[in-house]
Amino acid sequence: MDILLIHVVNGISFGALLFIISSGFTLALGMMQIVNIAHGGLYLLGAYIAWTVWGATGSFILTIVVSVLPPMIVGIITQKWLLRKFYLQPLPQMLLTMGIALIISEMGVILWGGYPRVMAQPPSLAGATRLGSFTFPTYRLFIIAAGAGVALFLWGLLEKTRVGAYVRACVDDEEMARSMGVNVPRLFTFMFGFTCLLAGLGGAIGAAFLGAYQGAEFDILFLSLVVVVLGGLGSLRGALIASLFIGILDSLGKGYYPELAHFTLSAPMLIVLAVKPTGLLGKA
Amino acid sequence: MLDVKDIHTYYGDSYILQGVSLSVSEGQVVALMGRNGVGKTTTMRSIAGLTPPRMGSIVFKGREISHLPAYSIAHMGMGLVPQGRRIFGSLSVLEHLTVFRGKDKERRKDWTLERIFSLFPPLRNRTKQKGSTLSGGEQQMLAIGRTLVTNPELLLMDEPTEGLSPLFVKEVGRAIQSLKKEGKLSILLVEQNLAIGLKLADYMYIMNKGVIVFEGLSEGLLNRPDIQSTYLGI
Amino acid sequence: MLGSLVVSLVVPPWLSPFLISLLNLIVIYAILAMSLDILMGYTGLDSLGQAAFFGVSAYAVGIVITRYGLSWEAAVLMGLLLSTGTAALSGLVVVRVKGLFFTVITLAVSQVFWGISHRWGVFTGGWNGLRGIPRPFSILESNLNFYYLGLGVFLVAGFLMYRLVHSPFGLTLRGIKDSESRMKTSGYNVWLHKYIVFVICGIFSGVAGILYSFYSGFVSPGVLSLRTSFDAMLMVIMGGAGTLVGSVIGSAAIVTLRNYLSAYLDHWLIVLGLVFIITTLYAPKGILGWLGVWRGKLPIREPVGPVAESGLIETFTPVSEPIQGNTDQSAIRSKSSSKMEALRLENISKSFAGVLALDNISMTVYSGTRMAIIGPNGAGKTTLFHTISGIYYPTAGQISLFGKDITRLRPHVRTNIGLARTFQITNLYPTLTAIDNIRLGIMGIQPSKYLLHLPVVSLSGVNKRAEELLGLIGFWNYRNTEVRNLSYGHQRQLELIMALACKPKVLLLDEPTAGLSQAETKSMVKLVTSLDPELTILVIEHDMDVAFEIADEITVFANGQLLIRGTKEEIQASAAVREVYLGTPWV
Repeated sequence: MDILLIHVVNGISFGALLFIISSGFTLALGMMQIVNIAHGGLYLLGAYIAWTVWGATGSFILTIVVSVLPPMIVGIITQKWLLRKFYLQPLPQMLLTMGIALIISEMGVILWGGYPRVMAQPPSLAGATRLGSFTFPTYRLFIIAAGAGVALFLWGLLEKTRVGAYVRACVDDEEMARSMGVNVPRLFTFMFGFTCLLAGLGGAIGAAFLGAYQGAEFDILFLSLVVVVLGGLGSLRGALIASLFIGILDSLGKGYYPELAHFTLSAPMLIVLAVKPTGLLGKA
Repeated sequence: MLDVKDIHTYYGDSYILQGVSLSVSEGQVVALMGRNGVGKTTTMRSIAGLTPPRMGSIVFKGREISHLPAYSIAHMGMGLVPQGRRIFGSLSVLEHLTVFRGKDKERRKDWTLERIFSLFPPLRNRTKQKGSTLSGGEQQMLAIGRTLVTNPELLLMDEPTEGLSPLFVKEVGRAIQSLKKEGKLSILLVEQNLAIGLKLADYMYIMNKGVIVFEGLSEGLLNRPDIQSTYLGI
Repeated sequence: MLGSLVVSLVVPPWLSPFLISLLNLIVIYAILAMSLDILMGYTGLDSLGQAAFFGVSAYAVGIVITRYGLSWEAAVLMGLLLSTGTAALSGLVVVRVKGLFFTVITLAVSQVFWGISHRWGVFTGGWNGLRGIPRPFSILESNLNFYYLGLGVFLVAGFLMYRLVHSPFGLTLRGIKDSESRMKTSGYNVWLHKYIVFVICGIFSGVAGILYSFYSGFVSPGVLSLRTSFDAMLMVIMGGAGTLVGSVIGSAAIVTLRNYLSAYLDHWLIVLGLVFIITTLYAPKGILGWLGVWRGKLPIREPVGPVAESGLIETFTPVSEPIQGNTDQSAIRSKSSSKMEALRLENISKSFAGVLALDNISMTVYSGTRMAIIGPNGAGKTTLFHTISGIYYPTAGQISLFGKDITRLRPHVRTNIGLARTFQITNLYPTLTAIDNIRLGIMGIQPSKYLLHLPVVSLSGVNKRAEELLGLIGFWNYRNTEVRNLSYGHQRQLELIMALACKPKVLLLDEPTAGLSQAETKSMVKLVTSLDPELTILVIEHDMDVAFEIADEITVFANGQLLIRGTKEEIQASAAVREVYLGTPWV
């Protein structure tokens, strides 16, 4: 029973990280119909930069803050100069972001030599914590807290702020939102930059957990895809549920049936697809 | 206030507006009438910037707006209450009435929440409800309220009573009448129903197949049953 | 075309080994790209998952030979079986969705296979993949000879694909791309067509994978990766989607680029990334589109203006055919003894999220009736048509067509029983020619729509009927014009003829004269009134003159309810109707 709990908590922490990573992807898809193929690349960028900044400064806060900025800037530039030309046309946008993904991937090799980099856990978050009769790795608990924080922040942003209201209005009826004075092009640029920031945040937090390595950009994209397809294209709530579900399933799978490791990720997605192609919380 | 000169608008290859001209003076209520499919909604959309005309000019408050994006036109003081209400299903009533207000504190004074609620009492107790849960009539009230809080100087209303039960037709009609009485807003109203048009508007334009075929004072139309039956009736 | 064939046969022996290896890869990827082009360029299914079928068959060959030591024949067989099976299974799930969903799901599914290939190391060799796949015959050890094999397979595959896209089935694919809704209401089981083409393209992708496996002697997870799918898509787009030839050009371009770049530049991925970006920004229609060669034809602009219009009135002559009637329609119809119930609606209601669009509608229409449905905007008239034709299912009530319950039948089934309709907003196939549009209209109820191997232009029965139908509106001379280049008035008329093409017994016309000029309206009315008196026609109209000219009976709708039904005189005299249109002021 103890082992089970440990697996579940491990799963929740992986799920929390998954959510942080895939929330941006879901938001871009749901709000702007953009499938950001470079999403994983932005994770990688954040993770590499986190490793560098941590090594140079030893300040976790500074690491997080600095790591999320370049992905956001890449996102803003991409949206403003490239994606905007193909407003609401997913296919050209996918090709464009694929191009960006390739460029970022190669930049990784140029700037960081192509070697895997795992950030050391910040001392304040390293080691283990006792909760009752159980001991958990502190960093994992931190990830769970961070995931909860991101979820709360996103909920607050979308439900309680003016910008969030504009976003929801755009999803409902983009034309009418424009009629009501919402500067949609500017909103999209800001939002897309924000989704890229989230990817970078996932990288900064994941740097000490999953690490940064060439190929991560596609692994992370795959994970985001699974979450999005399982949870329903564009549903943040679906992404949260799917992330936790996949995280726990993956952890349990790795714990009890390590040979089937990969299937724990794909099987749920395929089953849901067969029954309800629009995803758990998706709209038809 | 508004001067539309000879606009030609297409939907793809479909030639809808074939040279439409009209104008609305300050404080005036003008009705645009005609049967279905003649181009009334397309005219509204062209003015609001959603379906810009290919040719012609639209001058609003002295500025040429025919190629401005819709959100810029909205900021200039034009409000659209579209056909079919089109309220935002995921936004609450309160959000509809607060998030679209402009930043200009002076103009914000005109339309407070309290004023909207006194104009449309059914909305008062539904502030937390999401738009998708309202009835047709309540949605129409919300659609008008949503636009009023932006303090427009020109209001475009496209068939505000369409599809409403007689009770709500009365309510909405009353509301528009009281707006008219205040005299501060200019209104361009699209209506299919002659009685409503006559009641609310001072001046009328009648459209048929993409062009204006009759214009004049509302009283003038009362004496022309021939025009009534040709362009409005059966 | 012949020249390039000669070149591809004669020149290679003189080329360097590097170039020969390039040629091998070009023909292999050309097959993959062409299979994607059929999905993307012809059917409108943008798949980012073709790598799945390419990779699965490549791995099948590798596993069968290196792990089980079986013969190359077994390997080829397994490769074909697996790619077919994979396509058949995933197609069941994937073809149910459209657009962005479809693309994302195909990507996700192929990514699953990619994941399996590098995690299930025991079976697949993990990240290292499988090495040492021998060529089937020693004669093929030479890359030059293998190239000729590859070229042969490419030519056969290319020929088959060419026949496919020019067959009746191929035409249905292009129809689906242009307007699924029109296809459905013309009698096509769209899901089935999409499924069939998805599986066929999966098989072709698998063939490419088999060739690849034998050529490179080595398979790794890369064949299943995102990059393979994206490369294939870039090849199709760069060459020009919807042309087949474009995919070959694209394959040549990308393979050459990749191999030259990687030989000379360390960080060639950046250049590839830029290629993706630049191609999308500046050449969305591809090289062929850029050269202005679009399916080998330049758009023919039809003459517009008074000349065409008057020409239209003159060329329109009622043809004395069974499909057309004589002048005294109503007399003939009232004499007809067969008063069959053509259409019956019982208590039909339809609500959308709480809004009641149709409120308890009941009506019976006898065969041969001409009924006009009028009413103010938002009254539910088009919703009524959508419910009768099957685009919406009613929330309550029953619909019968000649006594058969059609309430829950899908649109294409209703068409095959005898229901046809036109749309309020013209719903033709814009990129297809007028005659191809009509062909699709005709084949909707015929089994010939599944023919894969014959050129569609060779179906003489279809051609003859197309000529008759186009002749009704004097369109024979415009038959090769793409519909999007026709004037609006001509499109509206074609819309009507399309509905006639499937030999309906009940015809629903939704605002047939919307947006037409006076002259065009006159032609349209003439056409409708001269149709077969046995045909039951329901027309939604806002032009009262038209409604009164075409119809014997008028039904007035308001607020989702059937207000009144009667003759023209009764309707004009009704106070209730006048109130609905002109309104009474409130107090």
